[in-house]
Amino acid sequence: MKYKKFIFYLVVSSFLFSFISAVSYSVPSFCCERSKDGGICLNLEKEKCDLRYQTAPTSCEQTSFCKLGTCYDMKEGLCLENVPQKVCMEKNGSWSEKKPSELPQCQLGCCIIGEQAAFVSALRCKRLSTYYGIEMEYRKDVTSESDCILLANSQDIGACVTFKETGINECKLTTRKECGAKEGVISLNVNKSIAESETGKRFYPGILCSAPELNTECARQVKTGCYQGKVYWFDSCGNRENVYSSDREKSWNRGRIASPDEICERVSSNSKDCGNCDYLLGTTCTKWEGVFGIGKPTFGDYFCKKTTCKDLEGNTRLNGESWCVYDIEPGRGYEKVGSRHFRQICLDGEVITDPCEDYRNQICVHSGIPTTKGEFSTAACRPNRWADCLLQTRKKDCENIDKRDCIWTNKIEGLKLDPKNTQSNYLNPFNNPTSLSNFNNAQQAANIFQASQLFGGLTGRASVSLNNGLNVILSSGRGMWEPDFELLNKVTKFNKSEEEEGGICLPLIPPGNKFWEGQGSCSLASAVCDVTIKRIERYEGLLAGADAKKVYDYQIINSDGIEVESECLKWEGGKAPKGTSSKSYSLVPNPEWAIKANAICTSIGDCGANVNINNKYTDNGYIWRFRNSTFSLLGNIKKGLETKGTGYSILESEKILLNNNISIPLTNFVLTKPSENNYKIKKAEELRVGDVIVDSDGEEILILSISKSEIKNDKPFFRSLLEKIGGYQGERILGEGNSPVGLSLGEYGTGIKIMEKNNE
Amino acid sequence: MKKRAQLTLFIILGILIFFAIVFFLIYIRKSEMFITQEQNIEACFSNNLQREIKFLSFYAGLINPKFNYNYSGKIYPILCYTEEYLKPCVNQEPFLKDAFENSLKERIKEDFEKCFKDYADDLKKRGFDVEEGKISFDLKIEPEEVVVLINAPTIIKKGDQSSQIRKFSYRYKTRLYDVIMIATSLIQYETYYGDSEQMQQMFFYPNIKIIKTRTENGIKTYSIIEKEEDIEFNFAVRSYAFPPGGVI
Repeated sequence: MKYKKFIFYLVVSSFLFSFISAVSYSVPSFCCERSKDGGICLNLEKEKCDLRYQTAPTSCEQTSFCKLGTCYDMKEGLCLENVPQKVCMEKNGSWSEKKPSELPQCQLGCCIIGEQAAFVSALRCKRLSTYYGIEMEYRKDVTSESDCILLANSQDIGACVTFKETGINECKLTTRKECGAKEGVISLNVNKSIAESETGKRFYPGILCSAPELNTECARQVKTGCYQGKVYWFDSCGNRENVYSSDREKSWNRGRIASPDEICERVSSNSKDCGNCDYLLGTTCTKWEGVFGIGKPTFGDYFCKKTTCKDLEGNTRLNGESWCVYDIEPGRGYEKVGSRHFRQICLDGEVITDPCEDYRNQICVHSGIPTTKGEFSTAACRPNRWADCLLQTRKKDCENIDKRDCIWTNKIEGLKLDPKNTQSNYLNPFNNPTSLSNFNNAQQAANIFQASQLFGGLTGRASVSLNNGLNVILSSGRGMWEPDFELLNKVTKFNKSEEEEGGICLPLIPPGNKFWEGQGSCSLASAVCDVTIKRIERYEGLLAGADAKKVYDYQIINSDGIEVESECLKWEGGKAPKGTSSKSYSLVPNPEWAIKANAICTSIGDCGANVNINNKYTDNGYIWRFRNSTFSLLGNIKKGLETKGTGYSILESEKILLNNNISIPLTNFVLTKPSENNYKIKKAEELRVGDVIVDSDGEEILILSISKSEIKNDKPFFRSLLEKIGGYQGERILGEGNSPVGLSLGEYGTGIKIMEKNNE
Repeated sequence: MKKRAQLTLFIILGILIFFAIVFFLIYIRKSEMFITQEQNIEACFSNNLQREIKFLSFYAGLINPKFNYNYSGKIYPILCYTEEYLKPCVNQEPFLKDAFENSLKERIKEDFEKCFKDYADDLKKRGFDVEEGKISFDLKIEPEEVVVLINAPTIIKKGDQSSQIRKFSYRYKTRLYDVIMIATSLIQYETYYGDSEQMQQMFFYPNIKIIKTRTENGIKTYSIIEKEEDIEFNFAVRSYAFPPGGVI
């Protein structure tokens, strides 16, 4: 038996344009003590340096004149990072090369001043104490800000009474520590004033200064005011009392301190009778500024005001709520070119849009804080952790949502990826050939990772403290958004793979890139599909002899010589020729393979054939070649139609004519609607009379007739379907967790709009 | 019927004119009172400080900041910057409060001297002999106030009586300190994490509104707005900027 090997190449690559190599972008290579535009100690190109100042052909970290470190502001007690030594010294600061965490004066502790607490350095605490004229308590043993706040909240508060000979005593509502006096006891004999038995100063925990037993000069409930977002009564001495209620007796609570919830229920709408405002219910203490007494609180000038906004979908959002807005629903491994994530915030009745970093370098995540009136939505932009997806070789590493935002899917035949280069560039950006940079990759990666955690670890909250002692509590909108791998398995552009080996890890939210400048990672992906054809020569007939007929069987084989099916090429007619007398055979490139390859390209970045934010489809970033012919995903040969060889181009494949006016190549895909809210894609050749297809305008067309067609290039039906990717036609999608309407590329990465996730 | 309608219209117009006259008289009276208060040196200090704090805040407390970013017609002084990708920004103005104090001192110097001169002139008009010495200032931004320490050696005489003014302080109520400290804090976050969470700051400071805008090339602009005083403190940063597509 004889066989011959024929090797064909089918190349699909996410090539960009020919000018890629010509494009160069700036790489900082000089340390400029001063830039021409006035910047201090910056790594720049030499031309940008102000030559009247010092420059060095290295990074600023290596120079003596622009060393960066921690600058300690001795006056304010602040530790400031990444400050040039010279700048710090000139302004009488104390400079160190060390990080704030390594400097004793920058160590954080709990600073308790009166009823307030701040997680700051000892000197900062001292400074704040001086400013407010209140004795400080500094606790080094408290190591987290949350503990510090708890400590402040757990302090004893009460009346600090200074007894006077006149019998009319002075009083201040304060903490036990600030009062610095022994605890006094209120006599059980209500007829006997405690002033008769006490002298000097005493602290009465849990008692208001207006309590009659204290015989103070402070008259109860003289005015109202704001404190920590709630409305409180204040006495004539200016001391805070209990939360405001128009039921004055209840609020006064016989002169005892009561928690706001004991006075009246938390307020979720404008209230003139209760001051127990709740930020998470959208109410906060506000000064009444109306006219003719409309809405005026029963007493005083302050009330709980509810402020709301309307989001793009017309939903009411509470003041302080934030939520995500997407151009396209995220998390499907697909984004339109130019799409971006946004965060919107309801602030004083105004919706503020906070765009996340462009090129999808940041993604918007959201979560909800449960309240009695439903969830309080909070959202944050955080880094898109896609950079090391391509490096992952195991499913569990790929889909480890604590570390990265990736999805695991099937590889396609012939796929070639070169992710390592990208990764090293990504993590080591200072590309200075003259530098002896001490750039620490691990540290950099740790910082980026830490930033990722801070700005929205996908689950739960992150709490991080800085030198100034501020606490960041981030959570994420209504319904936690996180990748739903179960859903992704059902509805995604990829066939999800369970295989540990043989799969490929791709970004969940593809990054964008300046492809028009040649930037990005598009060139990382290409696919070269090697197909080995085996021709088996045999003779047909009972005996080998003159009657015997020489025939050929053709097979596509793998490296072990075993017959296999190729993903990228198909036998014309669907079956391998067997017993044919012809020495030639016909193979056609498989559009399914090409579309899958394109799906991978679009996942890596703004690569391949894709639609942009204006729903315009272009395929300049995609070349699909077979022999000397180049094909388009839209079903037409684009260029290079020099030879047909023995292969067939799609152009030559048969077309069908639907209802005598729609012509589609048999191998193309169309969107069908088998039942209400149920969409599927089908190959045109699988269409039957009675099927309903959906055209680019969303119009449903019932197929009444199917006939063969050899019509020339026709209405770009499939192109128009591609343009429908996204379906929302420029409207933004609000991140609401599990939206009933999903968008996906469908199984093959082209424009499929699906209405119900379970049906795909 | 027509006449009755006309009469009603005239009555309504009459009422409106009456209220307009009452309003006008009240307004004029208030204005006159205000003019009287304007003579007060404290009002003069206060007006100048209010104006200059607003002006300087708009440029992060810097007079003619050279290193700035022009975005949507506004000039944002760059307070923390790096040209590189994925690198923390270099703090350009670590002592922001000091810088603001110096700028404010410089800007109010002449106005304060004029306030004092007007005050002295007013005394002279009222028959006092006023001997003015050289005036000097010091200024501190503190929580809830700006304290101006004024050294104005002045002797005021009338007949045999004389009194002497030397040092005195003027305290102007403002939340400028909070605004500067919030800016410092945002820069610290940017230096360390390459971003900040403004909602948290707004939660702690209900009078503060922070608008962060991510513009081109990784530059972020911040506007810290103190709602009651209408102070807008603007600045820009570029820290841990991401390269488009993640590849450099």
